[in-house]
Amino acid sequence: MADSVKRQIRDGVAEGEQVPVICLLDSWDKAASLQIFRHFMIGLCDNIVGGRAQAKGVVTVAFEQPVEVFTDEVLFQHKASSRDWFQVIDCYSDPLGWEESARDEAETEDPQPSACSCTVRDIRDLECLTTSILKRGNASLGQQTSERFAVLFDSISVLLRFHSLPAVISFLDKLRANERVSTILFLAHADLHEPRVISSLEYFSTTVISVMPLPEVSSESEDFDSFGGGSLRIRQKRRNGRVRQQIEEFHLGHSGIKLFPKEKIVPPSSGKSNVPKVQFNLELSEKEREDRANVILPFEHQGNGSETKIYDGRERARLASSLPAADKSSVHEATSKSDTPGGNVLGAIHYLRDSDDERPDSDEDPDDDLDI
Amino acid sequence: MLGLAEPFSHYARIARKQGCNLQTMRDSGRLVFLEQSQFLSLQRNGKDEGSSATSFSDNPLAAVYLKVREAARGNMEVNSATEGAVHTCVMIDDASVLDIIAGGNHNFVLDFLHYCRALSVRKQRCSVVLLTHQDVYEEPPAFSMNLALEYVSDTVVTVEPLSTGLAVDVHGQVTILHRTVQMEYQRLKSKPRSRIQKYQFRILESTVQFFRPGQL
Repeated sequence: MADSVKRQIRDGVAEGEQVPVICLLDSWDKAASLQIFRHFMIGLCDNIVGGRAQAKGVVTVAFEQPVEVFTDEVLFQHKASSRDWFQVIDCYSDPLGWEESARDEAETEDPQPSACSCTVRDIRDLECLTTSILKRGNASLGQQTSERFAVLFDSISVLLRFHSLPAVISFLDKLRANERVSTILFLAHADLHEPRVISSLEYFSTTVISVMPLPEVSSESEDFDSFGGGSLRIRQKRRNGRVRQQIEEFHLGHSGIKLFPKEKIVPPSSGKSNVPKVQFNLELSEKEREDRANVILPFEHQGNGSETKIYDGRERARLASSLPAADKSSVHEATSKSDTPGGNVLGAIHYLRDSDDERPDSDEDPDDDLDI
Repeated sequence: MLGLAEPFSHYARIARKQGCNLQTMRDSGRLVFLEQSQFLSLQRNGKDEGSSATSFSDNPLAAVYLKVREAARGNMEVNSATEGAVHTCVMIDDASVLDIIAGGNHNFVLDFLHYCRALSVRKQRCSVVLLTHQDVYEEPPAFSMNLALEYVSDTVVTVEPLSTGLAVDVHGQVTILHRTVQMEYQRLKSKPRSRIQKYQFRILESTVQFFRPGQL
């Protein structure tokens, strides 16, 4: 399924369709979401180098991570070839222009703007940001001016801190409407914003990927390769109007991130025991296991041939059903007699089992058939 | 170091207990200590003039940042004379005081912390150590602040009392959560740390003793 998202990023916009917008929502588990973001970014870069992608250039807008996080990764993989088509806009080092104004006063050396990155000094100005994205995008295309480029945002949450939701959405919408843009991929921290904001982003995007961390128990294990993992819920709006949702597991290891469908996942602790490490022995040996299986528990049928009788409070009812119908009335008479005070019949306890009123499958959840 | 909560003598006393002389470090220029009173006066001046604290931003913490930056850069010059590699660490005690300087505006605080993180000295990023109080931000208007602070950080260390109550031998527990996968680990193929580490601690006369739960 993640492959289908990769394909979607690769294929970009189809004739007469809107530009696909992929929204990556995470909650608190930044490590994982950044890895997933990079996973898609590297996938796209591979496709661009291989000439398979519709996009011919990439513009990454770095809000939350230093630019090196992205450039190093790509340069590491693709060496010199990435110089032009991989562009980064640095909104990390000086998003509000404090450095710039300090530099004017302090007269320090101006860092040389590198070929593939530029710095935005004021992210409060969305117009300016749009312009620089488009400028960088065109730079990434070089001579192929009729081609398209992809735009990646490492976190839209920073923008949402400075701008209202409508402003951010219209900013994204402008990018989407631009004819040079092939795909937009952005990351957002779902738990930092109101649910309203997140659902607006979800409505806006074609594909929503939610990162859900695994329960704490499994990530706590000190396994060598289980640095962390979780599941992805991928929801794709298809062109024919259908929505496809799939859940996929991911695993963070040495070689980056591994994705696999949920069914195929083998829990990392399989083959090993789940028993916590303690000084005394909690495991059973083979012999102990055998011995345990041989113990006859007191409520079990002892195997002497007779029928097992377990009192279930319905002795009288069973008696009544076993008698012929004519005798049933006499049983009733007997009971009614015993009710009368001073009668000669020995005292009897009347007990009506509560569970007799219930349906046989009463231990099932009564709301089970509801589709919530 | 941004000592907003306590005076320098407090930190010096604690450090001496642990065998570290802050005063000498301060004299040699390796430690720059910025006190709260400096910033409050900055803020007051700004208010007296009826304008913002700095010309380029309405954020009073921008001025604080400039001080930190200046200190870090100055620090570099001192260090470069002696050693080759320099690594600067900005320590902030504590972030809730930043809130007060910022006039209760959390966005200002987050901006400031962002700049501290992005601050680089000679192409080498500084590290930031930050102390904050979780319960300060538990009220509804500020509840996302804790999360936002955690998003800013790579490692979150939570200190809390034992959930089972007070004990003589164990004074509390520390949970360390590593939030980012270090890229070096991937490159060097070395063993990554486990994601969550839990320790219990006991405060001794001059140090703190850490041990794994149940292994006192």
